Amino acid sequence: MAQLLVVDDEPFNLEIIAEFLSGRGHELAFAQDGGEAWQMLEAAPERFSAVILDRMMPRMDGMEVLRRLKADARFDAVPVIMQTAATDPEEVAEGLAAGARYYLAKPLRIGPLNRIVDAALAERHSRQELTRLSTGMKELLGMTRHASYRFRTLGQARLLAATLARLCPNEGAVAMGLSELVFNAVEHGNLGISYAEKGQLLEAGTWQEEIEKRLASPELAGRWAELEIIQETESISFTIRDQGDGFAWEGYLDMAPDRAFHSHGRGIALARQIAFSSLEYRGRGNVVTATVKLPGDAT
Amino acid sequence: MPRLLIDWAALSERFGGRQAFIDKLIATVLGSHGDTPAKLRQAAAGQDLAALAFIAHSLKGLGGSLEAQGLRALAKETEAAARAGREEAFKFAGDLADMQESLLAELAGHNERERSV
Repeated sequence: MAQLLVVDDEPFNLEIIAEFLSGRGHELAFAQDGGEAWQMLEAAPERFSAVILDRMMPRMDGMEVLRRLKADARFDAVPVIMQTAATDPEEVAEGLAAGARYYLAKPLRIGPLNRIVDAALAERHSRQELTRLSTGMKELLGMTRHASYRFRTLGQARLLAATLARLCPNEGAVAMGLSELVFNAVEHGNLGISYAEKGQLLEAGTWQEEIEKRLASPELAGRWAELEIIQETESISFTIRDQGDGFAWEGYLDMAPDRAFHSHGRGIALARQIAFSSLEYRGRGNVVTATVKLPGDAT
Repeated sequence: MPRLLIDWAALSERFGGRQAFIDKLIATVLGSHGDTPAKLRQAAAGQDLAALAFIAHSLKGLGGSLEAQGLRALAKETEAAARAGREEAFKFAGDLADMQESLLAELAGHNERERSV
């Protein structure tokens, strides 16, 4: 059962969120300002799976809570969902820059609230799974200088991202960034699911089913993607190729406020911003190289 | 009969027709926002633009959630004027306080009727 911390100074908003999330199997805790929320988080850093955070509150506001969460490694795996008025792109941009990955437009509606909470919890689960999968491989990987791997499924992609990220000093961020790139290679590249289609599939709750269907379809079953890794003294580069038609990658390199309220579409920008020292797409967009600079001699 | 501030049909639709929840929500609003008109007038009298912006922001959210679009629009205008440091924010604040009082009366009347049914 996921425990969610809901932070809002308006009692009626807390009631609306509790009502909309009821029957979903979540356990909710409430705080009426940022100070109270921070006290609850500090008292039990492992307790909450996600935080739904109002922006404007008395005493400590939502932006300050967000900054504290992002500056504290104990909360690395806790996604933050910011609530704000949809009409204020500057506020959204500020929140995205401070590390909020999810946005809820006020006044709240039941469908978007549940979809965003589901997406945030899925991300947390994925991060925890990545950490678990990556244990124990570091030494063997340290001896690798050049290798390539072929993969077809999201499970294989996840395993690769989690394992190879162990080579990097910022392992958690690289695991997340690399998983975004390899997932894109499978779902958008090889399987041809467009950005809009993914939104519709997530909304209908049939995304996983569609992935399985396309993986098994005769015209797509033979497609594979490749991850090539080159480890040098000062850097590690990951090149990912897929067999899809590519995409207009230019629009996804930065966090776009107009996509902030969607349940997906931030992965590439986030990977570029926090995981890699460089991220370069080539050609029609089905080849990408991500590089991590190493702090010193990595041998 | 005074013009209604709340679109009751839209409010019911927003909360899936769950009347018991709507009644509970209204009781919460009456409990937590009863003194908001006085606070607005006090902020305006004290020329406290930061307080005005904060209260107006709160009423903007309330108006949106309760499908009171007139309140939401005036609150939005008041917040913008207060943030920009415009004098008209104080006049808007008075209008907003009056409208909020009407809204509270409408909500109280609704809950009275629900109780008497």
